[in-house]
Amino acid sequence: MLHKLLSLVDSVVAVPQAQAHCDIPCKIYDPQTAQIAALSVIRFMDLIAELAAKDSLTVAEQATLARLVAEKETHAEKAKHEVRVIWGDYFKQPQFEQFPDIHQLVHSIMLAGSACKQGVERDKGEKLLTLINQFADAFWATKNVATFTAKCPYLPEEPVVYPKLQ
Amino acid sequence: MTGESMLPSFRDGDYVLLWCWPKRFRVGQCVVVDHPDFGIIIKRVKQVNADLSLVLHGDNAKHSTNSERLGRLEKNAVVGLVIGKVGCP
Repeated sequence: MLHKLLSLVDSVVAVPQAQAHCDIPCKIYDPQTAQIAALSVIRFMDLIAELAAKDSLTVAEQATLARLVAEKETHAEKAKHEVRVIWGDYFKQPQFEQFPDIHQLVHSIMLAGSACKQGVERDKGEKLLTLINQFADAFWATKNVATFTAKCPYLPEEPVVYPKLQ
Repeated sequence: MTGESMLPSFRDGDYVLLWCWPKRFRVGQCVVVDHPDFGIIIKRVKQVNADLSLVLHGDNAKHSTNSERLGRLEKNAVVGLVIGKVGCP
């Protein structure tokens, strides 16, 4: 009864909410999501460059350009987020001792991701991917999983560090 | 309140009554704090330091952000001390 009454009051005055913050340690970490996001950024940059090569854009092409720019920025932010989660949640003292330069690398990734949001130059996307590949290499090394580098089998066909799982 | 990290003491949907002018805290009390990273959260006091800063934890250890990640909270981050609860039916 009292709860119902409070719910009613809450629906009118919106009582502030406190979260019993839940951070389930599911231990599922994989840099692949960050790598795919970085590849997407490069692909969007390529598609933006294709539109830039045209003399003028139709309304439909302008709409496409707006979507490409928005998605480029979303994926650059996603790449940053995924790396931050692995660095913040997975990496602990033993991994930091194994890769003492990981903080510098993660910081470089944050800067490179921001540069991708600010610009449309392909080399910025390539730099982001290169750094995230280095991060992936370190991540798999902490799990004693060997890696190999191969061109992703789809556009933008850039080199990606993959775990050698067999 | 929302979330499940304070189970079984508090359930998702419960209302809590706060005393917003607490002078001191004791281990075991529940507080609502404005955490710099996690926002407004409800946790239990695990430790009160000499400088009156707090170390917090969740009741549902399996599903709560641990004390190390929550860090040490200054007294002025406390929104209020939980002094009552209206449970979700």
